[in-house]
Amino acid sequence: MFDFWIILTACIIAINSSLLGSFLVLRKMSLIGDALSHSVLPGIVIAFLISGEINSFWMLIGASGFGIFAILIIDWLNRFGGFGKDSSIGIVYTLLFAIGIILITSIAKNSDIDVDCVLFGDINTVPLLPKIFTIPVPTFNLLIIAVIVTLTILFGLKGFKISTFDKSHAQTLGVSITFWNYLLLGLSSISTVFSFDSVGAIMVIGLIVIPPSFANIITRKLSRFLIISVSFGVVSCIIGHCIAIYLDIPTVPTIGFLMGLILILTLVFQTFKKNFQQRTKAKIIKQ
Amino acid sequence: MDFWSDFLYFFSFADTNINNVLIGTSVLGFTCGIVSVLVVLSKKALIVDAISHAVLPGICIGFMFTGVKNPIYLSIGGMAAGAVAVYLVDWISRISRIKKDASIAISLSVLFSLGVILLNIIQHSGNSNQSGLTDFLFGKAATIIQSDLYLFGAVFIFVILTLLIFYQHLKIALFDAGFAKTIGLSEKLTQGLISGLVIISTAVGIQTVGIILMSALLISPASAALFWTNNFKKAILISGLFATLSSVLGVFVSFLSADMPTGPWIIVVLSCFALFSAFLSKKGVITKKIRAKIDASYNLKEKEN
Repeated sequence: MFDFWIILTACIIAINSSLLGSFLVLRKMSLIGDALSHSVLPGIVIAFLISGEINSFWMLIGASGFGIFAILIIDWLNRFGGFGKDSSIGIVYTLLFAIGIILITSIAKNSDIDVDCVLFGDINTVPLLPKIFTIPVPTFNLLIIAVIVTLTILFGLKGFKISTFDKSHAQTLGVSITFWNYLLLGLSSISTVFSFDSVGAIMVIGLIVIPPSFANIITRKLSRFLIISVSFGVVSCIIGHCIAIYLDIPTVPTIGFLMGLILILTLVFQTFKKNFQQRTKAKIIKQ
Repeated sequence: MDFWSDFLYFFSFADTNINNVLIGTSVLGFTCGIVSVLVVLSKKALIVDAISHAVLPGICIGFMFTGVKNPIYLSIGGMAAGAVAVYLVDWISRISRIKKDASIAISLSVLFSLGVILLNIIQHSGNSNQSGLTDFLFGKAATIIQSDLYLFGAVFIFVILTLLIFYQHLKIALFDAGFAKTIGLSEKLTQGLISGLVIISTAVGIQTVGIILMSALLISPASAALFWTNNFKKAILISGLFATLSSVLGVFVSFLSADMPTGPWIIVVLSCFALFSAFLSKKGVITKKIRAKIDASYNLKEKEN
């Protein structure tokens, strides 16, 4: 039962992140995921300082406001402040992350929230936490978020699709690109905040970017893209946890490394295949 | 002790430990400030993020091979890993549909995960030297000692020399890519130089601000400096000064209160410089608005006359 909760939590996070990440990657906004995962830290720490616990649902929803706030500032600095796009992302998220770390080490120093858990997460303690309906609190919260995310994407698929692939067509149809953009960013921010304390800042980026990138090199059809992306995330979480237990190493980075390794091996395999096909073609032409 | 006596004590340079920390962070700050101009002008800002996260497994492997926490071995490991990150980002975006931004995020999280796994293995290996390896995550400015300063000095001199030797080359390549192509300057050399300098300064720079915040030290100073000048030479100097100044202030804040971490404060001060420059410099948003208003009222008066 112990491992079950860990795997379940990881899988729910993988489902949320890879669904939302698919659209972020297709919109070339992968680095917004990076910025989000770092910028929500001060929000989480402030929520924690106010409510005194790390898993209170409404506080965390409030904390995800920081993600949106960061994105608005990045956008503003880029458009009116005269910074390049890369530079404005780099400046804003490091500033917010630094503020978060200062808050943790100075004000919240004698509490459950510490610097290590910010980076790597604490997924192994999930089964030990208090339970709602026999489900650990973080898993329960994540389940609610997962239902919201999945339903939004199922019912809003058309809007997401049009605003991602064909902006001018969307404008002609009167679909608001800004609305879908901020819906996506808002959901990503919420999902990031809720995943944060289980898997940590860096792995959130991995789960947002790697599964969709894997789907990206396999297929070009959106429905298949989403399915491959989600199943890649889930399967990696299960296998990753098993390997982690077998080798006695931490779960979260093992999942991240495993996903990256599979992606890189697939790329190597594809390149070999391409080279081989070209060579056989050249041979046939010669004959 | 009140604030002013602390202030006087800190800036009288009487305490050797504080002096070491101050000199170390300032030299590293200046080095990173210089390299930062190249980073921002060549629009490589976010590759820095991948490189700095990749340094972690490099440091771990450097430690695993030697078993000691010698900064030279650790830095060499970090540099090698940084080079791997640059190559990986380039390779993934070259051979597949995956875009550059996604390949940066992929390399970052894969290499960082590897680093965390290795860190965990080292912690369980029972080597008593390992304590303090995690300090690289958020910087360990407070523990800089005299022997570290030699390494920082060497890197500083190396970066300055490289910049002096290739000054014309970099200037032309960064400001006028078309012209650089016409006169046959090697594009590969330019990219290699910039990546090389970034990797070297990252591998040692993480000692002050840590892996996670390192990218700020290589983005913010130049972003701030480029608001004040269009001159390459001046931009390099101003950027270096911004980084040095914020390092000094960061160290000072953490000296005032034991709870305050050095690295994050350096970054906060530095970002404030960048935002301040964006608003109030000659090219800044607010300055432009005020000037527009003055011009408008001036025009109105002329019309009335």
